[in-house]
Amino acid sequence: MVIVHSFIVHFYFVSISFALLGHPANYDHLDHLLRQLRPDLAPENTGTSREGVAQLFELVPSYAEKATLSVAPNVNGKLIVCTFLPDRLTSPKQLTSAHHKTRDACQLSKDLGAKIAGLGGFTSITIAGKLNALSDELGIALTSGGSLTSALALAQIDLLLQKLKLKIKDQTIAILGASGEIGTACMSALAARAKKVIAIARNKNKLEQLVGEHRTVFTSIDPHDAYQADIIIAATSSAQPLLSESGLKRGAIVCDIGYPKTLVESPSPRPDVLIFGGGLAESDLPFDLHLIMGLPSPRLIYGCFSETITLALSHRFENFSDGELPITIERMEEILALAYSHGFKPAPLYRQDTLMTDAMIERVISNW
Amino acid sequence: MTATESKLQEIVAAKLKVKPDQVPLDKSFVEDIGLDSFDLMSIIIEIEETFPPVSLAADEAQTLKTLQEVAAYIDRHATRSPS
Repeated sequence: MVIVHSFIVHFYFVSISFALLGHPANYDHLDHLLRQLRPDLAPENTGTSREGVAQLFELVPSYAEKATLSVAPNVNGKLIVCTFLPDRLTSPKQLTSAHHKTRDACQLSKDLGAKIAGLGGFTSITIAGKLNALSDELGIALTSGGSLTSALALAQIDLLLQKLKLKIKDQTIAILGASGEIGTACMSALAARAKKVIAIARNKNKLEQLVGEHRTVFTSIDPHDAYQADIIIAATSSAQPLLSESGLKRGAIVCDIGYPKTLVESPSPRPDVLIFGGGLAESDLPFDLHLIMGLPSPRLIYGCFSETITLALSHRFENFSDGELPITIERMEEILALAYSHGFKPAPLYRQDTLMTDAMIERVISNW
Repeated sequence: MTATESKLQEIVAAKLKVKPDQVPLDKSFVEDIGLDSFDLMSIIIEIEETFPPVSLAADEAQTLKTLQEVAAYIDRHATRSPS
């Protein structure tokens, strides 16, 4: 009997090889998730206040979603939810608590059998500078996914410029969050190609060290300097929006990689600017996480998770983007080629819930 | 200035890439001294590592804003002085 039981357990046990770590982007995202997935817990049915719901959520330890994400035979994964909201991380206590939740989520990934975990959104920030140390300590590969996210964002911009018949060498490009992993990668890739790069970050001294000898790159600590640029790449981990659609110049292009978003979009979109969520991939993955991830289509997936799945499919269980070594152009090319070989491609341009068709893009250009 | 305050200034100065005496002790280090979120987080991790068994996850740490307040909190809870 014991033997039969063991056999059945063995037979039905799906082992996982990767884990995707995420968190709700903000309170509204959490509220949306509760309504969709746990209406019994939604504020409107329990009478709990907004603050109460957020506090309850924060009391829950990091947990794995039930569904197994099957990508290929023997390549399965889990989504692990880290129960914090970035915009509430305003004190040392809350930041420390988020750090411990991410650590716990990595441990849980390891316990579930994962050989690699991708640290989505703010989770990679919460283990700042300690990714390699944590990976060694727990015995699981970890990646921030920053290499593929950067590569996808740059590919999306290149494809858009081709469509618009514009050349990148004529463009002034602002990078918000230029001292971060993704911002620095975009800066070094564009410094030699664009007319001018405005690198914007809070820490001026750190930024100037990163910019080094690039003659086309100018630095600033004022986010509003981005409004001068033709193209804005927003790669901040700011929990608060830093730019608004109303401040953009006519003809501006915004690639918003932030999670949560860096730019506040107007309720009625301006007809003369192009804004899209950047750093995303499109794929035929046989699972659907778009509701949980707050994305408009089941075919879309964040770059950080695409990198993790790409590495799992390639049996490369390594800290590909470790947040410590700068991401080079060669590394971006390597992971992009690997992702393409597994069927990922740069996501088409979406604005909020709407796919931007060629006709829509042409209408915007006619207003330039 | 206490030994803890000066150790905290050292930790933060390394991230801001300034001299320790240029790090303000009386401003909110979460919001007002120009740290990006990555550096802020790495400082918080380093504080816990430097001053065991101090935990900034305790309820009492909820209201800490300035490095001065963090230093006083550490001195109340640490068992050994920083090396």
